[in-house]
Amino acid sequence: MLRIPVLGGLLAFVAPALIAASPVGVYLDFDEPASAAAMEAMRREASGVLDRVGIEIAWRLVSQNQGNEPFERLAVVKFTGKCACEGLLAATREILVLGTTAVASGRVLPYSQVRCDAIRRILPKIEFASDRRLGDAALGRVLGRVLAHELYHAVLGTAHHAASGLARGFQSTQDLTSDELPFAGGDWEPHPALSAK
Amino acid sequence: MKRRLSCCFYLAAVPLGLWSALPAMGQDSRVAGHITDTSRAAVGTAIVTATQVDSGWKREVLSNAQGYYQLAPLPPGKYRIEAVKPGFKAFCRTDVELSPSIAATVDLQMEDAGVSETNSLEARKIGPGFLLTYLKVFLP
Repeated sequence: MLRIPVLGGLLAFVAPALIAASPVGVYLDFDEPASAAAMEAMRREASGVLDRVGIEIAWRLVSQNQGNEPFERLAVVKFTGKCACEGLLAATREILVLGTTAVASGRVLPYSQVRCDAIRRILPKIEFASDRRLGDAALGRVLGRVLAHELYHAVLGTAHHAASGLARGFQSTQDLTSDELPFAGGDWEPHPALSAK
Repeated sequence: MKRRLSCCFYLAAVPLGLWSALPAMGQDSRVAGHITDTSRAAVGTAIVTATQVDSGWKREVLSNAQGYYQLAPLPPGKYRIEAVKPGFKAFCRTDVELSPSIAATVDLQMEDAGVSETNSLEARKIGPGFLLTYLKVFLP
């Protein structure tokens, strides 16, 4: 008989903690239809990178937003250009802006932009891959890294860049296409935006 | 028989435990409204944040394409309701009192941020809006 209050009490203790660890809602908005393979790879990469720093993402589409789903924290990410390899864009050695996050009156807003065409232009091996599906998957992984970088700004509300890792402001093509590009230790600590509830 | 009874107790305890973890569930309130600009056109994809003044507890929602939003369930109390979107000045309404089991309506009118907000070289280079943090790439 004593087990009921014990179990009830345990759940009463655990449930708020589970509710508190709710995911960040990330709404995606596309200029043009994106490759399904690229989007799948992008979500997997961004989720994996952010999961390692304790951030869980709930993926949503702006086009399906009803205006009534609450989150503890949310961000909007717009994808400009074509998010699929087409073997059409000329490669460049220029320095290109791959992603941005909005700042107004010195305050970082959770609105980011990922520039698919710019990313495709700095990755000719991916853009001109003979297997379009593999190319899209490789593109998606890089998109996921750029997206995770912008979410670092959007979710933490910081314009700061780190000296190393994915929070660095400048990245080489080698880094962006490497096997792993995680955030450096401490980039997301002490989570001021998330802990200040 | 004893084992079956014990099992029933556990099954009954699960909803009981969850219910006790959400004490104010039946008395929660909600807030909804319409977001427009100064010309009364709907403002979609604005982030609306409701922050409980006393506790700092908050919830966010994205307005839909027609500019409507609804935040529920919210524990009753005094709230600060804020809407943000690039290109507009942040709009904030303080002292919004939410009562138990009552739906409050808070319509928000957002003003254009104007050109003065895009005053940095980076922002002008990037285009309209005010985008300053970025990830660049360099080639070896």
